[in-house]
Amino acid sequence: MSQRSSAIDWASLLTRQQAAFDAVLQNRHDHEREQALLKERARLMSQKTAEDAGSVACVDCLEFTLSGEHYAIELSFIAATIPLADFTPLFCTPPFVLGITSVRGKIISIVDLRRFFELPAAGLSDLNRVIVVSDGTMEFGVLADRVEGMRSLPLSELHPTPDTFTGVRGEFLAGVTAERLALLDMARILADPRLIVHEEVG
Amino acid sequence: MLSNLKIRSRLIAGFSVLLVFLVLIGTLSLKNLAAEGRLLSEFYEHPFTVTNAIQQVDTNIARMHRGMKDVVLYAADREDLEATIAEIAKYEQEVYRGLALARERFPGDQAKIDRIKESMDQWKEVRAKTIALTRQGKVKEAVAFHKNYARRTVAQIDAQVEEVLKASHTTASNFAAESARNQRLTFAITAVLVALACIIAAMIAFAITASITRPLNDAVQAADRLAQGDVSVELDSASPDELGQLLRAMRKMVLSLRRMGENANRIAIGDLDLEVVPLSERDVFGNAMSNMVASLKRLAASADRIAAGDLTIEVIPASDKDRLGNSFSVMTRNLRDLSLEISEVVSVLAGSAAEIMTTVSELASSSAQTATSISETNATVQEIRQTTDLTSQKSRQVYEGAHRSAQIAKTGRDSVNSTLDGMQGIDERMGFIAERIVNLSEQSQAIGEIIATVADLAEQSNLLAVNAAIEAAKAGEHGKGFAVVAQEVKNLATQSKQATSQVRSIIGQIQKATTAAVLATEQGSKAVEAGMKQSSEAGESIRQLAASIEDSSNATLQIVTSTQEQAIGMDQIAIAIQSINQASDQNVEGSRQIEAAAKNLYELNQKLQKLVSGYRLA
Repeated sequence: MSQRSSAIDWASLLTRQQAAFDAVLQNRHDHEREQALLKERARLMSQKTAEDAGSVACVDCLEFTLSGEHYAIELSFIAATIPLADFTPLFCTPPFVLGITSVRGKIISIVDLRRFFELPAAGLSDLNRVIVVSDGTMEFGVLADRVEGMRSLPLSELHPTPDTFTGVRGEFLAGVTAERLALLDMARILADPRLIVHEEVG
Repeated sequence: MLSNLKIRSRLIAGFSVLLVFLVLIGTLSLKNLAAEGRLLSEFYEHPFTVTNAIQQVDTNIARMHRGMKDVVLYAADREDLEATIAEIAKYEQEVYRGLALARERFPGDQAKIDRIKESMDQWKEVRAKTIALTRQGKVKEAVAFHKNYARRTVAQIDAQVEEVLKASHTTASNFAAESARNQRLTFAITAVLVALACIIAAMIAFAITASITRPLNDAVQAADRLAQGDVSVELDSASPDELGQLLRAMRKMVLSLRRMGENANRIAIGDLDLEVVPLSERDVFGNAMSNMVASLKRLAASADRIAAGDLTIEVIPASDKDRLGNSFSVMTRNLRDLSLEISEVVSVLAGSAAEIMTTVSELASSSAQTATSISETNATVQEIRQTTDLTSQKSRQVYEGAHRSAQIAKTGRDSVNSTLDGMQGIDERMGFIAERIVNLSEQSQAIGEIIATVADLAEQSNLLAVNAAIEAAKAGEHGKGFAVVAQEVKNLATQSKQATSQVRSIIGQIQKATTAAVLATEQGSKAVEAGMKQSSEAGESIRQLAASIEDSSNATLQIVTSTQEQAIGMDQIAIAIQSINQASDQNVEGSRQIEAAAKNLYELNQKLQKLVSGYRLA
């Protein structure tokens, strides 16, 4: 009780607390700087696209990952991307049909391409996405682990499908880039009769 | 004359006279009986038989007459006629036989019977003629003939038979009269003889009885007196018969009994010098008397020796029932045992007297020692008295000191109580701090949740940006600007995500810090608790100390009073010792007296020993 000198240094503690409160109040009023930063970024991006436009023929596509591999789908086939919120599994369907879900009042089926491509199937989570593809007649959702973002692929960079991609995997690919980004031949997939499920179970 | 005979002779003579009379009467009676018997047989032989036979003859004649009537009546039937004729012939023969018997036995005139026979012969001719006429069929003639002759003949026969019967009856009545005469005579003679015999028998019986009963009565009276123990009775008789002998023998017996009585009297008065000689080997009284005298002499000799102090003798009782012998035997045995016990007691008494003397001398010396000890004790008691006074003084001082200590302990308890109150306040503050910190922690948890929501929003913004880019691409050239905006939105979403992860890590640190702070306050609280516990223990110790000081104070108070009582007690002890001193002096005097008494006892014992040694025991 007599050792008052080793007690808590209340004065310095109070000083530190005051400093922390001040810092919080300061950050709250820093809108102007943020806005400036955003404008600057927008300007830089618009310039870049203007440069690209005239030079090379490109194909706009959406990049996504599936079991650690990168795939891309042409934007012209994509209707929307939605989170895999809740879906209804369908019984008596082939294994590649994950189930059905509702997109803005429309019922579509979800296709798990990993079954087609014989890739290892990891578990599903809230982070999984569904890319809704359509060619006007056929419409369904493609399961994706993660959506990377928009990408413009120069056609010159596309290489034909190597021999290592065999079977269905080879059939459904339009080309592969040097970064092992595989562009899916969506027109062909949509037209493939194997995706149409017509099965009767007695 | 009669009394000179023996009783046997007298009895024989009397009975002989009676016997003579008995023979006389018997002979006379027998003779008369024989005469009577003879008369009876005569009566049967003659009048009775004749009467019977004649009556039989009369009956048969009547039957024959009736048969003749039948012959006349049934002459027509030949067969009946012949049968009737045969019957008539049979009856006729019987008539003749009866007549023969009557003639033989008839005691009177036999010509009467012969006349009946002649009449019978006449009737026989008439009958024969009638039967012949009937056989020739001249029945009427036969009837007339028969009527004329037969009836007359039959009436004649009846008259003759009546005459014979009368004669026979007369004879019978003569016989009866003779018999009655004979009986009367016999009765008279016999009655006279019996009366005579009775008179003579009575006389003889009286004479004999008188000769026997008189001396017998004398003997009975003497025997009665003897049975009552009276031996003064005098008996004598000169009679030569059996009763005289009996009386003489009784006289001898009385004399013997008299002698015996005299001897018994002498024994009874203690005279044992007499000599009893038994009259014979079978003299039970004499033998018993002589044995008694011998036995009494033996006992007297034993008693003489015991009187002389000789206890070694052994008295043997004559039998199991010998009460005197048994008593003597038991007495000598008891005397022996008594003497032995007395001698033992005497020796024990000698030892005891010696022991008493030594004890008394020891007692005297110990009394002297006691006197010295008592004087020393008295000095010691005086010293203790002074010490007690000192103790009383000191204990009073101790009591006051204890009182002061109790007050100090009370002050200490108050201090401890205030310390405990302060500790309690600290504990409460600590609790308050801990609560606040936990509140902060919970609020930071809420911030974390908000941050998660923000991260989710960022993700959705990202997706939205992608969709916007797709739409922009579909719009072609017009959508270029929009695509840029979408890209920008995407970048913002990414940055938001990064910021949220940073915030999350900061919240983690805050939570760690708060946990540490809570733990620290908990430790502080525990320290305070320990402090409180120790303080309360200290308070308890002080309380116990105060209690024990209180107890000591009370104890010292008791000691003070006790020492005062002790001082009083010591004074009493001093007085008591004074009394003991006096008692000890009296003790010494008493032991001297006991010594003198013991000496007397010793001398008495010496005398007793001398007395006991006078008896010989073995």
